[in-house]
Amino acid sequence: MLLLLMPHSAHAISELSPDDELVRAARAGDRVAYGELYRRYAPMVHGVLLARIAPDYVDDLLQEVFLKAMTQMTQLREDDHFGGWIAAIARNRATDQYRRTREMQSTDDFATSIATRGTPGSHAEARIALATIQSLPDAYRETLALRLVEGMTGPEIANRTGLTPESVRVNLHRGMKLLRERLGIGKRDVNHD
Amino acid sequence: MTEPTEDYLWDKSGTPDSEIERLESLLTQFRSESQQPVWIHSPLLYRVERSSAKRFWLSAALALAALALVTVTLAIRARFEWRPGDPWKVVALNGSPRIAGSFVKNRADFSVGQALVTDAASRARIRVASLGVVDVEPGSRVRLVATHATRHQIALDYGTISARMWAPPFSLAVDTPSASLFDLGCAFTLHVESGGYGTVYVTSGWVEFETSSRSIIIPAGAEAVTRPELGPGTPYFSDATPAFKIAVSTFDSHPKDDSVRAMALESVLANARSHDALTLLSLLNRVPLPKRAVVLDRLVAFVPIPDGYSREAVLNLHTDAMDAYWAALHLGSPKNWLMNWKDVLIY
Repeated sequence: MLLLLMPHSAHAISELSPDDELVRAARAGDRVAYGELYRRYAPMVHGVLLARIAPDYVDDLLQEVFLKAMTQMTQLREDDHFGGWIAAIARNRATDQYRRTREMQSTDDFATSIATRGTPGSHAEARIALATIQSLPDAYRETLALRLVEGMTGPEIANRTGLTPESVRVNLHRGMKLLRERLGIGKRDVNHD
Repeated sequence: MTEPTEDYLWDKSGTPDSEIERLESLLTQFRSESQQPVWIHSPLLYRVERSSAKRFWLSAALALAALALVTVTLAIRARFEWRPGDPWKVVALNGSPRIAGSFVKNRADFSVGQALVTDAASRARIRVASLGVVDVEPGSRVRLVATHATRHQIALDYGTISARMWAPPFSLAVDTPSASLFDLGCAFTLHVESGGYGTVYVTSGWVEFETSSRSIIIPAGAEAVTRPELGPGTPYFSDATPAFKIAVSTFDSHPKDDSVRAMALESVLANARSHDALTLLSLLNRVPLPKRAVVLDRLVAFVPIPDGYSREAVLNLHTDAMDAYWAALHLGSPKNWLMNWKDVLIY
């Protein structure tokens, strides 16, 4: 009986469907379409969250963000702005989480604690690198998390977040320069501003 | 050795930067696993999604309703509340009516204690606070007796007025030489002769005629006469037969002449139509107990005694039984004055 309530347009949705078509279908209740949106945008949302909160919370919040977005699809006014819209939801949710739990240490403290604990191995190094990324200004840490953690290219970041390619390029290079300085790796003088 | 290029940071093209590659490698462990969660296809969440959308629209509708309610409340307050003692506005419709002896050329204030007089060629319109209008016909004299926040009082010494009120019951009282009229949310025409006789014709809603000893209520379509020293008579519908009207008038005019009253009552009953149940029900209050049975018999022929009430209860004028009988006439209720909103459209 419940299946009868489900929309019937699932067969029309594919990996090639444009975002706005997926959004319209998802708003009408098409779960296959929403699943495709999830597949496309989950890495971006994951990166946005990871740029702000401890990794332990990210997976749960990722689900929350997509669930909230699904229940609020009627509030998305422009069908081709899904990326920017859900990124905003993710940023707000990450901020709420931080305020609510206060469990995330300040990023400097986090990096310091990892380093002073002297935990051997790549995991500790990775935590330090991530904490250092989180310590960067908003525009840089988000773009770098998407590039270095999620493995997205600059054009992909621009496409998913709704930022202009120019902004992403500038954020990447300035952020990388700052990250190198804070991690003490390389002193290469790059200037693409 | 080839120098790394910035293209690698941008789109992973060109010569890789070893430091960036190392960071990528280290941070891969935090990368998302973009498998779809099972809840996306849960039919249970379909309801959540729908109800959320519904909630949004419900919230929007509630917000609009609240806004409308506040607006209506403010509008009603603005309409129904008056600053006590403030003068009313008068407009000359024809000729040159006078207020306190001065001619009204176009517009004028009408204050408590003043009299508005129209001659044979003049008419005037009085705005009753913010509740309605009273048109003063030629050859009339109207005094403004009092104006309070929600209650207002005028006196019609002689002449004719036509009033349209859209206001809670008893907002306007009109004193006449032989009775006071109270609007119950209505439109009516009141005529007072120089000898003190008054007649009211109700065109919308209800009107009450009252003296210290008795009161009657008159619905739309009906009329009633008030007489000096006798007060309000029995209401009857304007479309009643002349014989019926004469019989009612005779009955009301001879309260102390039993034989005349008996003949008049006989004529009333004989000429009554079903529509005249209003008059018959009113007469129950005016005839002595021995005569009530005859009147009730005639009334029952048109409108049965309401279920749950006995004949004795009606004959003894028990309040609840009489209220039920009035309701059974389906004439509407004075409490429903809000439904007479059309009366306000004349402004």
